[in-house]
Amino acid sequence: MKAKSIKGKSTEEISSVLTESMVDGYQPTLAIVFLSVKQDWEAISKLLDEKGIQLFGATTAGEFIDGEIEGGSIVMLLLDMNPAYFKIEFLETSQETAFKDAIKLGLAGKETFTNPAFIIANSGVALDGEPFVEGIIEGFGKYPSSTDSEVTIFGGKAGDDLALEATYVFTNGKSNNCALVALIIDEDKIDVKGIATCGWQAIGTTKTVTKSEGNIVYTIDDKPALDMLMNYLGVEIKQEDNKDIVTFLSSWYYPLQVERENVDPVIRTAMFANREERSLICSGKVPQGAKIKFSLPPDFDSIDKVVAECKGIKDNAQPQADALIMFSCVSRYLSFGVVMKEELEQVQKLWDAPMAGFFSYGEYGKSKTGKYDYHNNTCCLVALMEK
Amino acid sequence: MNQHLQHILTIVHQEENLSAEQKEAIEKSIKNADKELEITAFKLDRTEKVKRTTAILLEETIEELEQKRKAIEETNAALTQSLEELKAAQAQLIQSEKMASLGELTAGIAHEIQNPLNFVNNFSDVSTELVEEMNEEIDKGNLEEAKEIAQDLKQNLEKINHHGKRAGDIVKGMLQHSRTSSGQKELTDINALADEYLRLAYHGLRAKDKTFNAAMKTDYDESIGLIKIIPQDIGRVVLNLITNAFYAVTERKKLQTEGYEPVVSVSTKKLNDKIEIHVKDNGTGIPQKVLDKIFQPFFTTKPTGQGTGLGLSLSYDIVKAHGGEIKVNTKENDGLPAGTVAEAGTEFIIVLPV
Repeated sequence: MKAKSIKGKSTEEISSVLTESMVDGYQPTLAIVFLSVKQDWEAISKLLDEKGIQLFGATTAGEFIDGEIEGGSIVMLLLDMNPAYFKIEFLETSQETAFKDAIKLGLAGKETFTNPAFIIANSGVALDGEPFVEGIIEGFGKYPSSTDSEVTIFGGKAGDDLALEATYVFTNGKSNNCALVALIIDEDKIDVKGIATCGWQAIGTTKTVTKSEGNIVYTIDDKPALDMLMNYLGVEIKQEDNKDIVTFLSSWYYPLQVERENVDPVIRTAMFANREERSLICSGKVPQGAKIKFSLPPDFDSIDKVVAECKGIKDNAQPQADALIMFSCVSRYLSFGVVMKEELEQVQKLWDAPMAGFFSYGEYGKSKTGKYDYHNNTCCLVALMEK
Repeated sequence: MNQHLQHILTIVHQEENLSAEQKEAIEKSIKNADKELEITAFKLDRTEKVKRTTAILLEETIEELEQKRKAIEETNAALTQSLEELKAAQAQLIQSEKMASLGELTAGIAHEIQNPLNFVNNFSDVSTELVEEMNEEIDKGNLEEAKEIAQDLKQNLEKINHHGKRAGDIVKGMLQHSRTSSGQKELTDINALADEYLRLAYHGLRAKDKTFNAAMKTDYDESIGLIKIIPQDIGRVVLNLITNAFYAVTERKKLQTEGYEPVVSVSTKKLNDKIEIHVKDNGTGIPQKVLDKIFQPFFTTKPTGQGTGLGLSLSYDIVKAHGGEIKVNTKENDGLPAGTVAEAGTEFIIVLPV
């Protein structure tokens, strides 16, 4: 399988680069497209339709190829994967139906391939990602011929250049700001290996979530959750007139680490704050009674950790790769800034394969010791290799 | 680009004495320096941010821990108070147990005191008559006769004194039993102690219930001599075991009257470096499920109001404090074929080091 990564500042530019990349007779079948909400994804879809290329796409909070970070642009990872080896599914969803929709996706995967791998992206800024993972596992597991209980799931939650207003996922002729797009790959033909690494360090005393509902945290240690965060971390909320619910970007640096039984803690970022209720609206579920700690951004040497963990995948599971996809939390970009480029470059150099990725609002993947899960503040790398 | 570097770059470009290659090399170095400067500035800025947050978090955490410390201190104080109250309640319970066992002894003690008192009364009656006789003889001028009577009188008074002292000793013993232990070990005749409590317990029960009867067997090893114990404490243990033994035989008698002879035996034995006090009964025996709990505080099989459940627990503690142990062998009455009267029963063995 041959892959090429291309980028452009506009539909016209990307169109021209795409045509150029096909001059040598290269005929991609699949384009993994990450672009800024400023770009016209409908036009991109049309462009790819014309060239007979299937599309898996998401809007971003910054996009990159091969260690080159872009903003407001379009990046594409082109693959000439045999169309028999993959399938794209697109499902409109909602917080209420997310789990059921994901079950449908899990079943669809299992019906298409014996061993499917799911690369997913979802839109919906406040949509919790956990039901998607749980639903896919549920759907996949319930299929009668299921033999392997662990299904491969990687992916990211779409971004909107930190506006936190509307994100989109799209495929050929379809797009929605509350949907799930999935690239289902036949793992018997294409190896899909990856890893999710975090590095945020827990700090301070253990606290208890004393009141929560889904992804809304009302009180921590019986005190209003928002005030706790503001007091302990010295963060402030954005003042927006006449709005109770405001974005809480400053807290992305300092997410909550939610302790769990027998598995690694999971990171949950407070994406929004409710000024009236003094509550936090997190990117994922935070159960009432959960033990949590605040956390600080990783040291700059955590880039070495990410690279080392990716190297572990290269050395053990995937010595070679045709293409790389990376879903990296936007908070990493905020936190690592100009140093971020180093991480991307070093990871890409490990396999020396074309890479595309984006800065996301949430990630799907598996940590070294954990299970497939929905994460925040994580760097999630996927390596694809035709068998 | 950093304005100073930009300035240098501009000068380099304007410099005519530098070759194109040299200018290119300098420009590359300047760009690298600018990149490194940018990274360093970012790192510094982020480090500052994290430092500021850490300081705030530290301050808040210290305050939180201080509040927790205060809460723990308050809880600790409340717990200490509860502990004190518990200790006081425990002391009261121990005292109640003592008084309860004293109650069991009262009738026996009364019986024991009655004997010397009878003697005292009889001898004093006789003495009164003797004084009258002596006066008559003096009036008659029979001084020799009077002297003989005075001699008898003296003997009577000695007997009164002897029995008075005996009563006094019994009262002293009773007081000792109820008094808080001095904790001092004394050389004690363990056989006499066991025998005294056996009799007191028996007479006590007889006084309360005329129908009660049980054979008492004793076998004391005289070679034991005197051993160092706290007599009040070991006395209480022996009394408790004997009272329990009498209770067990009485219970069995209620169930099985024909052919059953209640027997309580107390014996002592000297072994190499220890002595044993055996208190054995042929009563109901202790069920296995109860056996594990008999030394637990407040555990009792007696009906409400009849036992505090502290007797064996305190006995266990007392013997343990003496460096000894209490062993128990038992066979339950239930399930034995009718007529096998001798099989069931319980034997408690107090083992004390010497």
